[in-house]
Amino acid sequence: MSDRRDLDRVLTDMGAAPTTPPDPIFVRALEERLIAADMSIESSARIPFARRRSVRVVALLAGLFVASSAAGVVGPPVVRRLRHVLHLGAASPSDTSVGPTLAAPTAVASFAIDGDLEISKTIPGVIVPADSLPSPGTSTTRVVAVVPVVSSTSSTTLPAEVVPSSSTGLLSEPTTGRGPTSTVTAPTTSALTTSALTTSASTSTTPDSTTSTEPRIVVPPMDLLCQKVSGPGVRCTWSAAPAGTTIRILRGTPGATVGRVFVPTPGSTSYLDATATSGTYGYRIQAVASDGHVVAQSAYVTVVV
Amino acid sequence: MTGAVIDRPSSDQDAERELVERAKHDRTAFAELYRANVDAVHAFVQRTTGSRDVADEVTSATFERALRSLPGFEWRGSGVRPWLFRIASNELATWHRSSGRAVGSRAQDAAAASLGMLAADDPADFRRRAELVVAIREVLPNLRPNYRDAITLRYLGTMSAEDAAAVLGCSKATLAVTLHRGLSSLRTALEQRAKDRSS
Repeated sequence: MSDRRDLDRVLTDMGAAPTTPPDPIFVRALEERLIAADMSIESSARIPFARRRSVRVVALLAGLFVASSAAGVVGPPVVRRLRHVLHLGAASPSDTSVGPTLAAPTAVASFAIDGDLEISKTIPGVIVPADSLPSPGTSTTRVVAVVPVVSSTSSTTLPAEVVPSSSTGLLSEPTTGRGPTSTVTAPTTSALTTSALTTSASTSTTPDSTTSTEPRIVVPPMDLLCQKVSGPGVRCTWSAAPAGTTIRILRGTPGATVGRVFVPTPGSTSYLDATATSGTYGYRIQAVASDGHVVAQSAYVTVVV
Repeated sequence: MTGAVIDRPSSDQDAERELVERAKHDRTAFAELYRANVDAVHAFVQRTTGSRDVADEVTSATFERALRSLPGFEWRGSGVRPWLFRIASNELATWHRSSGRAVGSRAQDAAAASLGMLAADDPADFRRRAELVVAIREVLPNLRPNYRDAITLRYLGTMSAEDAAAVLGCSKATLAVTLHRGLSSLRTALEQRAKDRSS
């Protein structure tokens, strides 16, 4: 088929062949995961998903009641909305990709997003996709439950969800009994994870005065569906990414320290992971802004191949 | 064949060695090590497989393994990159075993066709060599590990004989013998593949 010289020549050419450099997002994401070493689903796999969700429900409800007892006005709408948020698949407290261990939320703060303002001016570190901001001249109010972080191994991906408020109208001015706008505060710790709740304008808050450092609010949680395909591999499909973001797929496997990162074709809403051949895999997708911040992500979805 | 990895000033080697030592217990230093080598590792895997997706996968696995194995890494003078290539080669073999298949032939064809080195005046020669690239990628993972590693590191990793020998833990003379036998084994495997295809 080939003589020695021909083989040597082709092999040499293969070694000198140009290659496509790795996607910068892939490089950056892998570096983040290596530093944090938190992509493994090993620890999360020890806790059934249902139990993890229960833990989250209990934690958030407990915090909610703490807040409501302080303010005295949080009622059923908040609880209903809380359930809705959880149903959307908010990140789990035991999710190791999140890093921090969450304690019960201890306060609820509200803030206003004005169409003429950047959200980052309202709450440092909060990132909201452009397409979820209100139109110029309008405003919307969002309420977040502030959850102190007991321990944290990652400072880059503190997930939470903000769901657009059902309330309408101009609510940029705080009303009596409300917490301060333009500030998210934490009672005891410097790192925060926030979960969004929406409620009516009557919700009151009594946040403590410790200043937050770069809370990260992810808007909104993304839907992710992963299924084994007939051949080898797993196909992941998701809802469209927020404008101006790039999707990256994180995959963890039991026993893995770091996990894998895939970067699908821009604009696509599905990806075939042909390298998932056998075993249990956990997937999560993240929408990443150009500055590297995660602006939306899905819950973990596990697939057995 | 070139030796692209060494020929570094000793001060560079000292700096890298110091970085490696720090990286054993400092993730920031490991990140620095990662940034300095990720492109090279990715390119190495991509040349070996012809697939960018597999390169992503194996590159991730390589640095994951490197992170775990770094505390046991012993500096041998050739730097950390040859060591990473060796890990990548092993991870690639693991990937092939676990997947139980070669990279999709269409992807390989596309990758082969995209290789600038395949441009030839003779279209027939172009096709023949493109097919040879595809065939090499298919049979290479199935060679004996020492043959596979010698070929992969020397040709696709473009390592010098000194570096490859250091990584494989043998002398240059032994490496030369291994390489010779490996190429013979590769040629035999290619002939067998051709027979299987024609029958």
